[in-house]
Amino acid sequence: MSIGRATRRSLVAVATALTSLIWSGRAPAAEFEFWHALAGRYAQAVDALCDGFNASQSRDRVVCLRQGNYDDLRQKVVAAYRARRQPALTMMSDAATAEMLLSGATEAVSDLPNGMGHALEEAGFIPSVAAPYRGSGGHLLSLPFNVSTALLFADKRRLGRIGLSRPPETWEDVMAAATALKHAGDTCPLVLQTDHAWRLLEETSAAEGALIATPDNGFGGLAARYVFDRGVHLRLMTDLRRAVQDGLAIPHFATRAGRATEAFATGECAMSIESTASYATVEAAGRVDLVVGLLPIYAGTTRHNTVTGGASLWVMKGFDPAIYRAVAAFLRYLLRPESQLALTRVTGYLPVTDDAARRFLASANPADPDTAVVATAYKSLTQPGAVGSRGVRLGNVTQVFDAWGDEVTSAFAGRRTMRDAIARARERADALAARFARIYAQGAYP
Amino acid sequence: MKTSARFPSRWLPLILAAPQLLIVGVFFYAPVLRAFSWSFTLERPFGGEAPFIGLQNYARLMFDASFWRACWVTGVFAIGGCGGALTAALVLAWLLNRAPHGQKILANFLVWPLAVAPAVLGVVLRFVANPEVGPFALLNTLFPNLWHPAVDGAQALLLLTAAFAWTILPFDLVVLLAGLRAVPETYSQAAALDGAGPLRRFIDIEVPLLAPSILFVIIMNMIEAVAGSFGLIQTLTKGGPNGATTTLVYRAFLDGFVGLDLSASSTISMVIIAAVGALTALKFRYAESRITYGR
Repeated sequence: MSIGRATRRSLVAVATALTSLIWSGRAPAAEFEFWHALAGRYAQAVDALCDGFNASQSRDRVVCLRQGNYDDLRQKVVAAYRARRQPALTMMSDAATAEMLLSGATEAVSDLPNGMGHALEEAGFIPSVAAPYRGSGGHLLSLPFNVSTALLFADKRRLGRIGLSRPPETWEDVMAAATALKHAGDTCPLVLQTDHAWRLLEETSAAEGALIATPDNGFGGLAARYVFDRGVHLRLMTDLRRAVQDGLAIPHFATRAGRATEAFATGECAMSIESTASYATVEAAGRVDLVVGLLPIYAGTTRHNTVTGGASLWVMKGFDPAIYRAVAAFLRYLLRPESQLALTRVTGYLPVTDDAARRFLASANPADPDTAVVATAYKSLTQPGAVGSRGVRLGNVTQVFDAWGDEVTSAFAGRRTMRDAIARARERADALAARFARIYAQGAYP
Repeated sequence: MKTSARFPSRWLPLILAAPQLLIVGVFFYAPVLRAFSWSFTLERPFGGEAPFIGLQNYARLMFDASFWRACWVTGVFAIGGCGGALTAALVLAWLLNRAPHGQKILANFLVWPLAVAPAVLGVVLRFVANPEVGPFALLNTLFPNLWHPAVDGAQALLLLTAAFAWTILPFDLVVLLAGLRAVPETYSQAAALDGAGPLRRFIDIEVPLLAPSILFVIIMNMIEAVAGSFGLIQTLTKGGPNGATTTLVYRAFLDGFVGLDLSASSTISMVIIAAVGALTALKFRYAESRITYGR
């Protein structure tokens, strides 16, 4: 059957109209991958954010992939980058900050297109949360995402037995409370995770404003030398060891639970220095009436802000501007207070901007213990700053902290004196720092 | 049908072996060559500048006390594990060989540990060896603070070595039992006629005739101890406490995967390869002259 000329012309007209209708106003779709290292319900919270972003607009698409734990993820990112198959956006634990900054493989988040730098300035980050990730010009290099800080967790019931309604705020008061608990029959007044340097070295030193390494905890340059073997950290470790000898504190390896968080959560121990993220474990165990307080400092010293632990988001090099536009849009979505609150409510990670923190505290149920955790954490993060409470920017810091944990645990096990252990830890740390400086010779932090 | 294994053509054997050669080339020789080149540079994890520094990585290792400690731990682990497994396997093989009934079933049971991945064994043993809640808790109630592998390095190494011996025992048993069964009975019968008891017959006749099997077992075990066993260490002790169970392989893992120091890790890998190669060459040259294969 042949089509008449007039019919053909009108068919062509209709087809052209339909095609231009479909193709008009459609920018090219950009899809990128976001690699993260969260598991369980944390991963579900991240998936919810990713799905929310994809649903909120139709131009860009993010694919969120879990890549194991922080160590696995770091190894995979290195391998992927070497094979030119890196993701556009990846999460990295804070311990890898120095390596990422010197890698030459990342773009600063403030360099993303569409006015991202300005948007980040306006975002109003809690200063101590963003400080570890700022470059020498003050611009943000990586986006803090899931962060926590260290607080003193205590069992309300047992504190009540010795007449305390709030956890003690100085080390002297902590020892006094532990003594009182011991006299009241408590076998584990305070539990210490002796191999976790983040709590007992990094956070306690930050609260006191004391440097762990010069220059400026690594911010001043690559050739770091560690100084935690003198000053307040040595004093704290020596006091804690004496407390263990006096039965006022128990190291984690001597508890039934085997780890400090579980020992506290199951009610075995009355007090513990914990990450705010441990709230989830305590809530799940459901055995302890939790009350939280600021990290203890020595009486007569000034309190400074604690630093965050957790991870931040890094943008990798080697992609088209369209992809970077999509990444920028995704990061703006994550920075919305609603997104931050969604993450906080499910995971217990802290909000990263002042605005989101205030909204959470205004809308949260005061009777919910999680509210107290976030409120106390916010208070802890917004204390006055010092050069020693800016965070650390040190290379090989995972191995340095492992060496510290090894030596300090030996001391708590009675195998050597604390002074000897801390001195050895410092030697090993200096060797690791020297190796790092050697590998990245002629490198400078942006 | 041609029954011999000789191929007249020159290229056919090569072509038939090509897939295997390709796999070995891509997954073994290529990475080893890459690691060899990295051991002479300062390699950065994300790439970039990697200046050639000659033998400085090796020199740094020679002066590193923790490297020599890892060598010592590897030696104790290898000799203790292999020795323990070999002795136990010899005894079990001898007993199995003499058992009048149920040899097949018993041998079957004894070989089952071969199916257990060392990493799984490590996880299970963490619970078994737990001083608070495992069977050892009883020991600790009788003698307080006696068993604490999380804190006492010697106990951790003992636990690790015993676990390793357990994993290689079935392999040793299979090889030695097969070797034992191949020993002609005439020798044992002649010795029995001369009045030698079963133990005397085993020590003086059967074990020397088992020498090729024992040599093979020792080499395989030592290679596994020096160059393998990563999974067991990673799940059982993670190299702790304070480096007491860090073997050379685990040290290479820590440097390369945790520390992202690719050059240091490659240097240790080269040392391991050299050590295993030297071990094997030495054993064959030395032992070959002492072992008679004539039966």
